Formats: sequence, C-alpha cells, structure tokens
Amino acid sequence: MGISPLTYTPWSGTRMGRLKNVLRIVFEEAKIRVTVWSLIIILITYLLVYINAFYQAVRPAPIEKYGYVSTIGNLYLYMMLLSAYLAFNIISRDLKNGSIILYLSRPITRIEYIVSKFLAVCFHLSLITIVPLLLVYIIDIASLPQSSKFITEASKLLLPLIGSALLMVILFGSVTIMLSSLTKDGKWASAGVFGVFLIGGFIAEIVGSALNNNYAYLFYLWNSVIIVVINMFGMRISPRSPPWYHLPWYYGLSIIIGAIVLSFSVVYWRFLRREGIVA
Amino acid sequence: MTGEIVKVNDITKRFGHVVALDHVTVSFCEGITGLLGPNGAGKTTLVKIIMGIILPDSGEAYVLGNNVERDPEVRAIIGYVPEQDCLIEEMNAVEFLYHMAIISGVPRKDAMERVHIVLHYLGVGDERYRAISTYSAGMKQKIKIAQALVHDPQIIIMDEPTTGLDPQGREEVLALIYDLWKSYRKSIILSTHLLPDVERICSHVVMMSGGRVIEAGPIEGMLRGLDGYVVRVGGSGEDVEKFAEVFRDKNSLISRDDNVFVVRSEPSDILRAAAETGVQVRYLGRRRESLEEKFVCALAGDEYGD
Ligand SMILES: Nc1ncnc2c1ncn2[C@@H]1O[C@H](COP(=O)(O)OP(=O)(O)OP(=O)(O)O)[C@@H](O)[C@H]1O
Ligand SMILES: [Mg+2]
Repeated sequence: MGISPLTYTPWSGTRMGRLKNVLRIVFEEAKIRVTVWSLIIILITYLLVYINAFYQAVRPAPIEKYGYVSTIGNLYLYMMLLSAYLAFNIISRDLKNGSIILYLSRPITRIEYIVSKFLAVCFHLSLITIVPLLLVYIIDIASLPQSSKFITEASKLLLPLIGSALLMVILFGSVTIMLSSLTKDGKWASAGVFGVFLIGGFIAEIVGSALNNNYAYLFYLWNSVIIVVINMFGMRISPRSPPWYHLPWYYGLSIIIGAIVLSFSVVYWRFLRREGIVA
Repeated sequence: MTGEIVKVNDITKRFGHVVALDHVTVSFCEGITGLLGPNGAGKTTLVKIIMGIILPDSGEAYVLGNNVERDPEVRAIIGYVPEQDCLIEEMNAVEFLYHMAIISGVPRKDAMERVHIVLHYLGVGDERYRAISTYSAGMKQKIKIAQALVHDPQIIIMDEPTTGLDPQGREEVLALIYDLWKSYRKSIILSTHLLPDVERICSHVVMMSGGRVIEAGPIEGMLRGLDGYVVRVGGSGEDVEKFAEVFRDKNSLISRDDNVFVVRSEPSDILRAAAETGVQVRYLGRRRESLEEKFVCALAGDEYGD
C-alpha cells in the first residue's frame, strides 16, 4: 500500500469552490470546539432562558414583548461566558502551539482563515441566542391562547428577535476573534472578553450617575444592545425602565457597529497587512 | 532546465535592518534538493516566501509556474513541514491529520482514508489514537511530515526535518524522504544546516549563506569539480621538489604535506610527471573532497570576504 495515487483534485479555483471550502472549514472548526465546557455553557443557557421565559410567560398578556427584552438582556451574560471560552482557543491556541503556520501553508487565504474562524464562533454563539430565542418563541405561541390578534402580534416579533440575536452574535463574534488574535495566552483573551463587555458598565454607572447624563450609559455595550432592541426593533418594555432606555436606536447601533469595525480593524492589523503575524 | 518545480526570481527580504535575503535568484528542480546553509542564512525565510506565508520586499516566487502570492490554491500541491512546533497537541494524530486534510481541500469522504494511508506509510501504529502531547520527539516529527503528505502534494518542502532527532530517528527520516522521491516521485526541498544529510540523499544542492545563494546545481557536478588525487611519492628531496613544481606550474596543486600531495589532475598526467621527474609513486588514490570543504570555504569567504 502506498501513499499515492492522487484520487481527487484539491483545486478549488472557482468562487463557488472556494466558498464551499470555507464552509467545510467552518464546520470542522465549529466541530472541534464542541467540548464538555461548551456544552455545559450551552445547557446552562437553555435552562436559564427557559426559566426566565417561564416566569415571563405567566404574565397575563397574550404575548409579552418585554419578556423577550429581559431574555435578550440575560443572553448578554451567557454569551460573554461562551465568548470567553471560545476566545481562549479559537486563534490564541493556533498562535500558542504554532499550528497557525500550518493553516497559512494550506490552499486558503488569510482572509478565508479569519472568516472561517469568525463563522465558527458565530455558529456556537447562535446556538445560545437564535436557537433558544426561537424555541421560547415557539413554546410561547403553542402554549398561549390563539386568536387572530395574537397571531399578528406574534408574527411581528419574529424578525426583531432574529435581528437582535444576529446583532449580538456578530458583536460578540468579532470581539472574540479580535481578542483571540491578539495573544498567544488564551487566559488574556478570555479576560479581555469580560473586560470589553463589562468594563463599560462601570464607566457608564460612574460617569452616568455623577454627571447625571443619559448618554454616558452608551459606554456599556449591553445598554447599546438593549437600546437597539427596544427602539429599533420595537420591543415593548416595562414602564418602570430607566430613562436612557429611550435614547435613539442609532446611537446604540453606532456604538455596536463601531465595536465591530474596530475589532475587525485590529484583526486586519494583526493578520492581513503585509507584514502580519508569523513574519 | 527539465523539470523545474520552483523558481525564485530576484527576491529581497528585510526584517528591519537585517537583510534576510539579498537578491536571491535560484530554481529548484525535480528530485531531492538540499537547501544548505548555516544558521541565519535565510533558508527559512526563503521557504516561507516560496510557500507564500510571508511576502518578499521585491521579486517573486513561482511554484510550477504559479505565483503563490496571487494563487494561494497552488498550495494544494505543496506540503510544508515547518521548522518549529506546529502540532495541535490536545488532538490525537488521526483527528489532527483529518483536520489538516479538510483544510487542504481533501473531500470529506476521502479524508479519513488518506489519514490512515499516510499514518500507515509512516509506520505510526495504535499510538495514532493517543494525544499528540504524549508523543516522543521522533513521533512528533513523523506527524509533522504526515500533515505535509495528507493532501497528496507533488512537492514537499521540509525545514530542518532532522533537527532534534537522535541518530536513529534522523536515519529514519532521511530514508523516508528518499523513499518519497524514489517510490512516489515527490519532489523535495530539504532545508538543513547538516551537510551529511544533503550528501546522503540529495541530488541537487542550493547553498546559502548570509542571505545569498553561493552555489547551486547537481551534487555530482559539484563533487566532480572538486575531484582530486592523493599521491604519495618516494625519491630524493630534489626530485620530489621537481615533481611538486610540475603541479604548481599547472596550478593544480591543492595541498602538500611532505611527500603526500593532493593534486587536481588526471592519473595519467600524475604518472607521467612522476616518470619525468624520477619519483616513485607509492600511493595514488582518488580523493573526493567533500562538499563540506566547499561549504566551509564558502563560509570563510563570506565571513572574511566583506
Ligand atoms: N521575523 C523576523 N524578524 C526579524 N528578523 C528575522 C525574522 N525572521 C528571520 N529573521 C532574520 O533573518 C535572517 C535569516 O533567518 P532565517 O530564519 O531565514 O535563517 P535560517 O537559514 O532558517 O536559519 P536557521 O538554520 O537558524 O533556521 C536571520 O538573521 C534572522 O535573524
Ligand atoms: Mg531556519
């Protein structure tokens, strides 16, 4: 038995061929990130989302939109945990054990490498956002009394739910990739995730209450997400919410898009400019 | 040149003030080519540029006529064994190689088969299901080579594959490289600072030093050019001097130690000179100057030359 002959043609020169290749890599990358830890985080998330939804669903209204705002708010925390786990090894590990050079010696471009890693992260994050949100939504619809008014209400909710989830997935995914590409030591990448997603909270609270300025609350990415969810996607909130919940959605969206763009710029600087990583 | 696989055209690469490659132009052809040079010669830099992992400041590299910088897909036909550690240690060999096969574009249905074919070829047994972190240095080296073979490339570029191995491991790796060419016609570029490795298995050699190519060509040609004969003569001091004079005049006396001469000349000429000058030839033997002397000469020339 020998190692030859060539039984396939590995060339994938067409655009479709390259895309297909990237998707295969995404699948592989996502698959090898499924571990006991990721499963624990995912399970805990499902449990907590379900408990949260259960308490929201016993409210008298047929379908309470602010139940979802609260669920999405909680998801921010669970996503942080999963992002910290993913940041620990998605790129940092390649830098640490040197396998990055093997990726770069394969028939893929650096952009395809980054995109594959990003999509693999997004896939995992989707498992704890889009999937549980849709599950809760389906359970809600199935368990609440059906009427034509209810159906219209409920159907209007579908796009906002998916939109909010996608926005969070892209936000967390890009920050995760950015932090993971910055260091060989996964610990720092994980710590960075908590830093990026929590530190704004402290700044926002301190500056916001000291200056009594609503805009200061935009520092906190969580607030920006909530502002977009409420004011852009039009989810209802309880009347007792703080005033900065009503800041215009485009402020929140700008902050989020800014964070995404900044993350990808850092990745670009790290990987894609001429003398990138592994010089 | 027949069977040119890699062409490097006037490549310069700087790292800050260090000129790692200085207008390097060279081509590699089919077979096993030794890329020989001392530490810091620029071998790794050259290899990474050929792979398109780093970009040159000027010049271009072609693999089978394709520019890697423009067509990264060319890498599907190249296998690369890096110099440094690069294995995903938490995985076992099978998982790791499967992952690498997929990234190289091997279809999912063929990938697992390829993994086992390659592991079998390299003589990796049931250890293949153990985490790579538990492997010995020799085993890890085999896995590094395996990942370069798993997508069945035509060209394999190995950067110091024998470094850090014990003599037996080194022997195994060299035999393996030789077999890759002999049995499977995989062309190999073998970067090394170990001259004996090159002499053992290479058909061509590219010698580098200080970021420049100082010698390139088929290895036999290089050895033939350096061929000489060792002659020990007997006779009176005067006759021996005359004998020495003959070769000194022809500028073919390489060295002399009393009555032992090293000359670059045909045997018939040596015997004729002996007869004419009246010395007796006590010993006449072929002397194959090793590439090493040339290597060391070149280094010395490079170090003291400028
Ligand atoms: N990333 C880098 N940054 C700065 N200098 C570098 C870098 N990579 C290589 N060099 C320098 O370029 C020169 C050539 O290095 P290279 O690694 O190509 O040599 P080499 O022939 O592979 O040596 P060795 O036998 O030690 O592997 C050296 O002087 C080295 O210090
Ligand atoms: Mg080197």
